[in-house]
Amino acid sequence: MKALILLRLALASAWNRRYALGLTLLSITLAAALLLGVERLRAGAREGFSSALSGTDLVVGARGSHAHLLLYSVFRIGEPTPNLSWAAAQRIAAHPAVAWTVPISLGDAHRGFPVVGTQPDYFKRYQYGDAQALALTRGRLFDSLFEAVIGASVARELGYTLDQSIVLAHGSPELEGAEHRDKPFRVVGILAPTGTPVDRSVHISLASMEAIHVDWQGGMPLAGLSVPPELVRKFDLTPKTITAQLVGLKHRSDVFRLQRELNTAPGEALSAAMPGVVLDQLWQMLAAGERTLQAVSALVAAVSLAGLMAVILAGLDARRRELAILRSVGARPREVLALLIIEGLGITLAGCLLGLVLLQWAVWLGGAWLQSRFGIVVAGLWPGQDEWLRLAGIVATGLLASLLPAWRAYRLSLADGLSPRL
Amino acid sequence: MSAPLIELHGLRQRWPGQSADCLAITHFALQPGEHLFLHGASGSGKSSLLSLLAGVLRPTAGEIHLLGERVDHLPAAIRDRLRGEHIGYIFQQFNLLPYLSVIDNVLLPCRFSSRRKARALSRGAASLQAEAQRLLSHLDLFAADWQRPVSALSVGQQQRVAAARALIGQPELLLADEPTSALDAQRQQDFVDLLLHEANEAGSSLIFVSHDQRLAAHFGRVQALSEFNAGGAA
Repeated sequence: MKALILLRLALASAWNRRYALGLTLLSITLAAALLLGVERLRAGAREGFSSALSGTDLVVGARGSHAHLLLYSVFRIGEPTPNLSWAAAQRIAAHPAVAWTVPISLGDAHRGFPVVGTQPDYFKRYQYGDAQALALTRGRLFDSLFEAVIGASVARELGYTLDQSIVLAHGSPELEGAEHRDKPFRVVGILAPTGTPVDRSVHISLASMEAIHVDWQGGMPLAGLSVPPELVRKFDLTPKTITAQLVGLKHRSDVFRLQRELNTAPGEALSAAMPGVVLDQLWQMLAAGERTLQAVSALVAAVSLAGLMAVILAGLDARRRELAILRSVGARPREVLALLIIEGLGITLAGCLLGLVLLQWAVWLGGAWLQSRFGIVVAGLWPGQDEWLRLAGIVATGLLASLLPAWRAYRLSLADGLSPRL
Repeated sequence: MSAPLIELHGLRQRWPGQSADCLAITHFALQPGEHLFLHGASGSGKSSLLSLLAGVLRPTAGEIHLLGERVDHLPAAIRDRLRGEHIGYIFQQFNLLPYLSVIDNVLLPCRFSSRRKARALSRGAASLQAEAQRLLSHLDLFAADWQRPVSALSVGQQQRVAAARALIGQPELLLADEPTSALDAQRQQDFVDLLLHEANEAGSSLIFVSHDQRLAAHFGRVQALSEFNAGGAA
């Protein structure tokens, strides 16, 4: 009964000061949305990074650092890794535990976008995120020499459409004057956006990759020798080496056994990396950036809660008369205190709820864009446990921030008596 | 004569950090139904005396008896309850909560005290609203004014709403702290007459503090604070 009266008084009083409180509400709303948003982006970025390649159990390359192998073969970042012989790749493909393999051959580029030599199986086997497969938005997969399938970013940034003729260049980054001008490619397919490195890749067949290099040696065109495209088919276009091989197993439980087997196999020195594990480790190295994000959002939350405290404190002097009137009709100091706490808590709660709504709205509006553009998969609409904890943190801080003004109001109402000294 | 409504014994009040008492009252009493006009220079401790009588402040020393019971040593929560039940208070100005309607302002004491609420209903009113409206009409505030935001009322009308709030539920004691200082001369006398009339009707005692002795004419008892207060600047 008494609580209801206080609640109504607090509401009416707050409504009377709705503009100042509205601004506070706005800043708490933004702080809550930002705090949760940063967390979701972070989780999404991590998720996007760690699952840039999924459904693949092992990535095999020449012996070396697993992180290096993954960075180069999946993200196409960093120095090239040593190659793996085609014979070794064939042996792995024939291993009884292996269900499928897809070769990847890197080293060329087109206007800054890496060229991936592979097989049509790549488009079936390469998965990202939560077992999402690649899809074409236009055209078809390559099925003969000098055909290319380009990623969504390549098409968008270079303005390419089907049948565009493109010239690949040797080296990544491209080497000056090392273009394969004599053997242009035709764009036959454009992939849907994935938010993975696939978007920035130009895909051609392994045979095409071989074909543009038949008259090359050691990274340079052979002097005085040029094989025209019509004749190149007469050559053996089986690759001698590839950069890496994606491996899928019949039973995922074999992964550790096969990894150990490959890593310790006699003969050609191989490395077999588990993509999920290595990508997670790589992400850990980026943790500093992640913590900076968290710190910034915590600061934003702190500033807006300080704003709440400032608004309540600043309004307090103007409210001393109001509090004296309430005291004169029988309100106790602790009821005055309750009024201020109801207000602070109410504003913080409302701010958190609105922040949540704002965030959901933003996710609903921009989630698909984020994923296709940045590969950040922003998780489901309902906040997770971690987000509830953060919200609880904001509410608790908001309560504390309103306690100081409430305590001051309590002191004032004791000291003023019924005639506020203004 | 029956027991006094209010009785002070050896009361002293000193603000923290000050070297002299602002109030030093050996004895003071107010009888039920008595109307006291209390005057004195500003700063002479009138407001402090009212805060002590209302139970918001606790005296530095001495005793306060309300309705025959000693109240100064009671816990704050009980003094707050007693104030809500037995005392109506009128401020100098800015008496009303701007975010409540006229009627809700008048009914505030009934929200905090069930006794005031019960007594407001005991005069045959159908509802609290009806009792508030009856009081407002007696104070020359009519239906057209009840709906207006309180900030749209003139100062004189605001003071009459404040008087209705002090009177609702017939508290035994009305305390008025310079309630007319914001009114012009003609309206001051009107306000005092209305207040006295309604206090009589409710059977309430009244302590009316003012520095303007022209208003004292209709009071049964007129005193300067300095007559019984040995403290203060004087």
